[in-house]
Amino acid sequence: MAVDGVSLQVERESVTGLIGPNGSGKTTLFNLIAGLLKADNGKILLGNSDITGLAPHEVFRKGIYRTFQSPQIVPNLSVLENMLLANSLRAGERLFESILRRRTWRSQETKLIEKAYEYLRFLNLDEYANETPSVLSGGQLKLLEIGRAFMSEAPILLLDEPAAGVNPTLARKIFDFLEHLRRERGVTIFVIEHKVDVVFERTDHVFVMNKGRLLFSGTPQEVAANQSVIDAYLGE
Amino acid sequence: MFNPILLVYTGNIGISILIFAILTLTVNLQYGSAGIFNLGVVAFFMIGAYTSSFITLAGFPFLVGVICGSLLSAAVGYAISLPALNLRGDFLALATFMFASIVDIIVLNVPQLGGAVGIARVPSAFPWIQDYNVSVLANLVLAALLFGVVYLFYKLLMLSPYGRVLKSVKDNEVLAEALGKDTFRYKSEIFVICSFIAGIDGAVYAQYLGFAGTELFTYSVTFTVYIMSIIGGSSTGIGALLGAAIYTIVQAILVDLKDVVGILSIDPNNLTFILFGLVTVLLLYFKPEGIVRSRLRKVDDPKSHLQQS
Repeated sequence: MAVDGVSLQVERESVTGLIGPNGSGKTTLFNLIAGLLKADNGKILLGNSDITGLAPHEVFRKGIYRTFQSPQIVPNLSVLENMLLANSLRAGERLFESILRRRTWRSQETKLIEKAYEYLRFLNLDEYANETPSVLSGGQLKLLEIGRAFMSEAPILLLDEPAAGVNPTLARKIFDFLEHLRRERGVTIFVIEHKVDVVFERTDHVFVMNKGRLLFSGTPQEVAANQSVIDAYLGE
Repeated sequence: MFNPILLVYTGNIGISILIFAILTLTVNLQYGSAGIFNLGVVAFFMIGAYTSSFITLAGFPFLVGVICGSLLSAAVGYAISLPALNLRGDFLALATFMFASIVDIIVLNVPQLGGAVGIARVPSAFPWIQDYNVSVLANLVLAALLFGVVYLFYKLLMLSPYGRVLKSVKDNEVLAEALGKDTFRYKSEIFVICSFIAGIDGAVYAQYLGFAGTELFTYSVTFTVYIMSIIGGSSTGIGALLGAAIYTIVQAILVDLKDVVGILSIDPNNLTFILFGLVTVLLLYFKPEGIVRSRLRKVDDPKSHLQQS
């Protein structure tokens, strides 16, 4: 069993970290929340509403956006269009309205394109906007993945190792921006990250998983000082 | 130059190209854009042809026949899509292929549906036209109009956010779901709309030939259309026309080499299959996107544009 008996609560408008050794079930937990995997038992609550067993697209519509550890792209769309996918253009994405209400969705789309370019500039990807994603390096794909999360404007972000493979300055910039999203827009952020120093510096609360179970939960200071966490994960 | 026999000959080839190009467009929409490997395309073509034939034979005008044929085809498409689209790739292909076989066997064995004899004397869409040459021209215009409408629909759809979502469903279904796209709904809509178009196309085909029979709607039609799609380019609209044209013209030349010139002693239809089978395999190996490939949509930064101008 990959995840068993894990009970945790992520506070609204917090930046919450999830750490633990490889194979401890962190991504599995994300997949359960996002609806990519079905739990055998247990419940997932969003506020007071039960979201257990919803399909991934329904979870998205509840306002939860998850990024992937290995960047996911659509190879036959440009970098810019990969960004645009994160938004739901109500008229443009319906069969007949996409043809009959072109004016409506086009004006919506123009605004989204502007926004997408802003994020692409922020992530130093704007020069690749009209290229296929295959020209991007691994780290840049990671940035595209996080850029899409920004585009989605989802109130809850589940970020699976957003800074892995990203250079330190840019990683710092991303976490600064997450902090900004939380403060300005009240976004709730739940983040898996192996860069422990970043986690301890930027999160309000940290959950530690080990072997599919919740090992410890507390503030960054408490986690750093906990002996069982040191033994299982942090070392030294 | 204006030899009427030659004009009628090319007119008939033109009609054939256009009717198959429309069917190929449905493959490009299902397979090329949304990744739905539907190997039952011919069944929907057949349902449209048969339904419309029966209705026009009962005395109703062609328009009624087309509407009934395409709606029934779409309804069957919807019913099939519910279980079939839950299957992945190869299994979807198998299921739709079996479905087409079932339709074929039912029609073949129910005399009321025409049985092995088929339906003869299907009324033309232009019953007032007596002259054969003029009727060929009228059919050419009808097929061209239909192709134009379907092509425009395909183009507008693929250039819209809907088309963008379809590409994501094809290339990365997990991602599409995570981005809030109801992938099943998209696939189902495309399946139904393609069944609808194939139904119209079948109705046009049957009235043009004045006949509907099982030998016109064998599984080889499905494969032919897939070959046309792959040759022309399965992710473009114009590729469908190109693929259908190349296939149909080569086939016509081979038929003439045997029947008119007499230097060919093998069955030209079989030779066409052998030839295009080979071409398709080579193409899939060396140029899988086909002759025409789709280009990325390029959009400049609206803001930098403002600064420049």
